[in-house]
Amino acid sequence: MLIELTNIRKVYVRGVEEVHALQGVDMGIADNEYVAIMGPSGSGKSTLMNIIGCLDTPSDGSYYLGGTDVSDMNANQLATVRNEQIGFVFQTFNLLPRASALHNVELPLIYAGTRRRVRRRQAEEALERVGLGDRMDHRPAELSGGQRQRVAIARALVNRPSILLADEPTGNLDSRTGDDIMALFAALQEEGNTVILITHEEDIARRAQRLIRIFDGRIAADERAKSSAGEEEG
Amino acid sequence: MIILESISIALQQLWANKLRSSLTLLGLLIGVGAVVGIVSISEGMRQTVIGEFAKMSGASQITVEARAWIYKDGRWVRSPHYRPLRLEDLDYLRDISPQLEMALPLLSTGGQARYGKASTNSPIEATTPDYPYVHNWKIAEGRFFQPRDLEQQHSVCVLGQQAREDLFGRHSPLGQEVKLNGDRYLVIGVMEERKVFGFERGNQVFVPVTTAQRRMIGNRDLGGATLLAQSPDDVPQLIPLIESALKKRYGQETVYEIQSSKSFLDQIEQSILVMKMVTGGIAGISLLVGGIGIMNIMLVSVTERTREIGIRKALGAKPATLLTQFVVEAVVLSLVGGLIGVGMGIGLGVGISLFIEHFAESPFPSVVAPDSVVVSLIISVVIGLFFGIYPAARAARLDPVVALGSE
Repeated sequence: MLIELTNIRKVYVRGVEEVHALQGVDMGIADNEYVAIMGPSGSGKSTLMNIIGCLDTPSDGSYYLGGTDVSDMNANQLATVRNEQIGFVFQTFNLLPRASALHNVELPLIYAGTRRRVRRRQAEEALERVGLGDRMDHRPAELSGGQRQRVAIARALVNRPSILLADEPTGNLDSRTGDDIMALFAALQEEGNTVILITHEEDIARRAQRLIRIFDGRIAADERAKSSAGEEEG
Repeated sequence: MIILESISIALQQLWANKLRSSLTLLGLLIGVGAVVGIVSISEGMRQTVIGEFAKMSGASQITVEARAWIYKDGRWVRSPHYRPLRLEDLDYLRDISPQLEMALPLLSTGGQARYGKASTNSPIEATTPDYPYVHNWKIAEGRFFQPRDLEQQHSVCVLGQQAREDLFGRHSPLGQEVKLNGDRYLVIGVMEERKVFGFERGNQVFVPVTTAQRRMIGNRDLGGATLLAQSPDDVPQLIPLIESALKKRYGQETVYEIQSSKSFLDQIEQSILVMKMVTGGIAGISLLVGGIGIMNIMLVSVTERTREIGIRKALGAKPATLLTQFVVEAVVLSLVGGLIGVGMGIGLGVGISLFIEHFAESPFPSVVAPDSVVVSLIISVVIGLFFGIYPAARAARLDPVVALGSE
C-alpha cells in the first residue's frame, strides 16, 4: 500500500468548542490508483486531504506513506515529504502571480535543491507534458483558467511525486475546460501516477476508478467503478 | 540558490511598492547620509589642519625652553638651577640624534618699526640663516641672512610680507633703511606671503640673532631653541632623548620644557572625534527609527503574502528556508537604503564643503572616509538582520493549512 491510514482522528479546538473533524478513518490506497474522495462541505474531506498531503498531522491514529510513518513528523520533515512525495493541485491554482509559468513550475525543484540547469530542463518538460510548451514565459494573469490549472499540474508533476493530490481542481473552471483537465488526470494515471481527487461533485468523482464517500468524519462508502473493477488491488 | 532567489524576490518587492519602500528607507537613509556626510567633512578638516601644519613643517618642530620659575612650598620661586640656552648650545642640541636636522634659536622681542612716517608694531624675531628652511618659508625678494651677517653682527633685516606692506606700501623696500626701536637697519629681503587657515601671518621683522643680542637685548641668553626633526613621526621618541641629553649636560636639577605641536594636533583630533561621536549618536537614533520602519514594513509584507507563504510551504519550503527568504528581503531593503544613504552623504559632504569654501574663501575639502562607508553599510546589513528576524520568524512559523486558506 502506498497510503495506509489507520484510525485517523482529528480534533480542532475552535473557541471553547471541540470539533471532531475526523473520527476514525481507515483507508488504504495502492500505487497507481485513481481515487476520488467525496463529501459535502463540513464532512471532513478537506481535513483528510490536509493530512494525506502532509500539510497537517492527525490528533490520533497512524499514517504510513510509502512505508514511512509520517503522523508524528515535525515541520521540517513534513516539508521534505511534501516536496518529494506530494504534488498539489488546488481549486484556486495557487500560482505565484509575479512569477512566470516556468518559474512557478521550478519552485518545488528550488526547494529540493536541484541544480539550475537540471531544474530548468525538468520544468520545461513538465510544461510540455501539459501542453504549455509555448507559454513558459507567461505570467498567470496572461493565461486562461484552464492554462493556469495546467501550470499547477505541471508544478505538481515536476518532482515526480508519489501522489497527485487534487483539491476541487475543476471548481473554478467551465465544464469544457474542466473536462480537459479531468482527461489530463486520467492520462497521467495511465502513465503510472497515483491520483487522489477531492471533490463534492458527483460527476467529477465518477471519473475515478474508486470513490470514497466521507460523511461526518467517517468513511460512509468505498466503491469501485464497474468498468475498472478488479483491475487493481493485489 | 535560495539566497539568490530571495534577493531577486526582494528587489521585485521593493520595485513593486516604490512609494512604500522609499518611505520605509527614509530613516535609514538620513542616518547613513548624516554619518557619511559629517565624517567626510571632519576628515577634510583634519587633513586641512595637518596639511597646514605640514606646510610650515610645524609637526616636525620641537621647542626647548629653560624654565626659570619652579613651584616650591606653595609658591613660585626662581629656580636656582635656571640655565637658559645659548647660541653655542644649538649644535649640541642638534647632534643629540641623527633624526634631528637643525636647531634654531628662539628669541624675539616686540618693537616699533618705522620707515619715514609709516610705522608698525612688529614682533622682531632674532634668528639664523636656517630659519626659512626650518619654517618652510621662502624669501620673495632679496635674500635672507648669511653666516657673515651673524659673524659680523650686521644691522640688516628681512621683512614679513605684512610688515613690508605696512611700511612701504607698493614700493620696494630693498636697500632702504628702517628704524627698529630707533636703530637703523638695512632691508635686505622680504619673505613670501604666508597664510595659515586663511589668515595673514607675516607681520614679523627678522634680524640676525647676534645683532639682536648686542643691540636690542644686551645679553647672550636665548628664549629657547626650535629643533627640526626629519619627520613628524620621529617627534615622540625624540622628546625624552632631548630631555635626558640636556640633564646630562647641564645637571639633573635643571628644568627644560620640551614641547611639540603634536599635543595641539592631538587636541584637534580629539575634538573631531567628539564631533564624529555626537553625529554617530544622532545617526544611531535615526538608524533605530529606520530599523523599526523596516520591521513594520516586513510585518505588513508577511501578512499580505500569507497565501504565497502557504503555497511555498505546500511545495516543500522548510521553515528555515522561509526565514532566510524574509531575512534576506529585509537585508536587501536596508542595504539599498544604506547605499542610497552613502551616495547622499557624499553629496552632503561635497555640498557643505563648497558652501564653506564659497563664504570663507579658504579651502575646506570633503574627504570621503572609506571606513565610514564600510561601517555604514555593515550597520545597514545588521539592522536589516536584526529587525528582519522577527517578521521572518512569523512567516516561517505560519501553519501551512491556515496560510493556504487565507485570502
